[in-house]
Amino acid sequence: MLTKDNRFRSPMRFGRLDSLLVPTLLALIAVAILIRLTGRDYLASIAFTFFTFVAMAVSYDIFTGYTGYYNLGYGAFFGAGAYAFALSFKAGYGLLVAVALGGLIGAMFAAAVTVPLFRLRGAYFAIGTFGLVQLILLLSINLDNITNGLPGIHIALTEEAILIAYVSSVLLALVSITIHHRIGRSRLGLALRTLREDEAVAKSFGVDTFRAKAIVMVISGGLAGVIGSVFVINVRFINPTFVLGLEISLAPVVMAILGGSGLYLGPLLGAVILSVIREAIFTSIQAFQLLTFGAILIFVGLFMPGGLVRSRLLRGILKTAHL
Amino acid sequence: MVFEAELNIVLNGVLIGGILALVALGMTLIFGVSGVLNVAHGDFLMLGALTMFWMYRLWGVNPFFSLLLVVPLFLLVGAALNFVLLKPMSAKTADVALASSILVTLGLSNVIEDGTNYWMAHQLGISNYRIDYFIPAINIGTIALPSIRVISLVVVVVITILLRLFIQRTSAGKKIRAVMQDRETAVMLGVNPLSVTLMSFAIGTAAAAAAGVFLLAGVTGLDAFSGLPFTVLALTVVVLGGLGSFPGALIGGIAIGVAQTLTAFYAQPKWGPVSGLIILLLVLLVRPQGIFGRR
Repeated sequence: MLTKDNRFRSPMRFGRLDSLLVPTLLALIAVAILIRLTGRDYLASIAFTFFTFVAMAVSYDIFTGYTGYYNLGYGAFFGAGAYAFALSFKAGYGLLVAVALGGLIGAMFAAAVTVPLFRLRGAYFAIGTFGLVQLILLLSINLDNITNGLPGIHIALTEEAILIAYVSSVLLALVSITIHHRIGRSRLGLALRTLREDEAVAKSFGVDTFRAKAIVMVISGGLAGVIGSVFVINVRFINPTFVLGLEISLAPVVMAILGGSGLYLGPLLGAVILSVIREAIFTSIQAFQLLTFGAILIFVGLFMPGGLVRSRLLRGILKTAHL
Repeated sequence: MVFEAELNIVLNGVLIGGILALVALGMTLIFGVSGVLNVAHGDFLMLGALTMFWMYRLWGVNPFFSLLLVVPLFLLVGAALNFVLLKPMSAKTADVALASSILVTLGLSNVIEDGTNYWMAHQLGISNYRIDYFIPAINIGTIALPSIRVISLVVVVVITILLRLFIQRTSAGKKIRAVMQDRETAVMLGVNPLSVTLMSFAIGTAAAAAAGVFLLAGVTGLDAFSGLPFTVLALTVVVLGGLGSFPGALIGGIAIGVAQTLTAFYAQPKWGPVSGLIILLLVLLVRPQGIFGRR
């Protein structure tokens, strides 16, 4: 009973899909401007969540999509960045400095854990990174003299900051997509795809596998830190379960897997679908967010190991549309 | 007595360790035989405890006698889980099988936790599962020992010994060990891998559910989201002892249990879980294959 593994099929097969970068970016910008023009706060807050989701899913996939290692610890960089932002802003630094600090902490944290974590392979890597999020979550709850624990920290911001957060979320989504796309076409991307197939072989052909993995890990972690900071600006509040709970730390993983890892279109599509589901279900019933995530993970894990982008349905649609 | 507090802490630590060992034994059995890392394992512990909770609440069944229903029930649940995971297990390479089984079981865990929480907390208004079962303490000389914990410990030890005997002595157990050591050779020698996998899922899941019963009876209250922390703890134990190692799971379980209780007692209760995670990360760094594991 062998099933065909098409999870990590080469992006070259999607040459035409992959060349849609500019139209995709323009479409996202158009959506962002149109929603802003309607002037409805409710729509704008949905759009903020959507762009944040896109940025999270795509920047998460910058590491996992190219290396094939499941980095369940993305949420740790996100949460660490969010806390770095909240604490430094609270300490009196300016908004921009605080956001930059959030990104810096995310990137530095990611760089710091490369040395120990890259010794792990396959499932051990997934376990280790998962343990990392749980550890940071517990620390942020327990160190309540710094983080104020579960009651969290409220952050006083002006109305302008909300607009800044909105624009930043759009920019972050665009930047993440562009980086994801550029890496796919670079020498680094080739090195990463090689080591994903077989790390030992890649090494023997002279690829510095550690360096290649570390570069994308730091990029992914840095973006996660900035996205976490912007996330806090928008809601003006931070507490451990809010930025480090399973609902948020698993979200990028779920979106990337749902859409299809390894192509920026995959996580993007996953983010679109999850945002729609979120608005359709979670605004009326609070309880079923994790359940929906779980159902998606089970369904995709069992029936669509390559995600939506590689499913027969989508390929059929593309064929009829002559793409 | 002066030593009573300390004695109780050690007893508690060993009991938690024994319970963890039981959970970890199930996890390592399933992993060793099928290559599936069951992230929903801790949720079967929670569901086992929940079954006992309802039996106690509705019919007043003694927690220890509820095992007579919980164990067979979760043997069936484990068998059902085996069929759900057949597809991921049949993937081309071990790495892919592992990754997709992690995704599917993580999803299963989310579904179980959120579903249970909705049913219990939102519909019935019970968010913390506790039972008021109580039996008088055992007095040895001047030292009073909580008897539920003592009995739990004894039963956990008995179950663990029985499991060990089953694995070591019976023909079915030998087949399990054969598949764990070398699947291909075992299959060539006439072992049916599907039935062995089915058996390991059934036994492993039932062990987790039984552990849940002891946990709720003797140690702590639970809620719908207690499963995942115990999965992480069981993972710690399994990683510490070595994936697929039986003695490793036992020793690792007791080590983690005692470490947690001591940390909670000498530092603060809130630091107990942190010690487990730090041990997990340290072991992954220093000796990823565990104490008894092979590369």
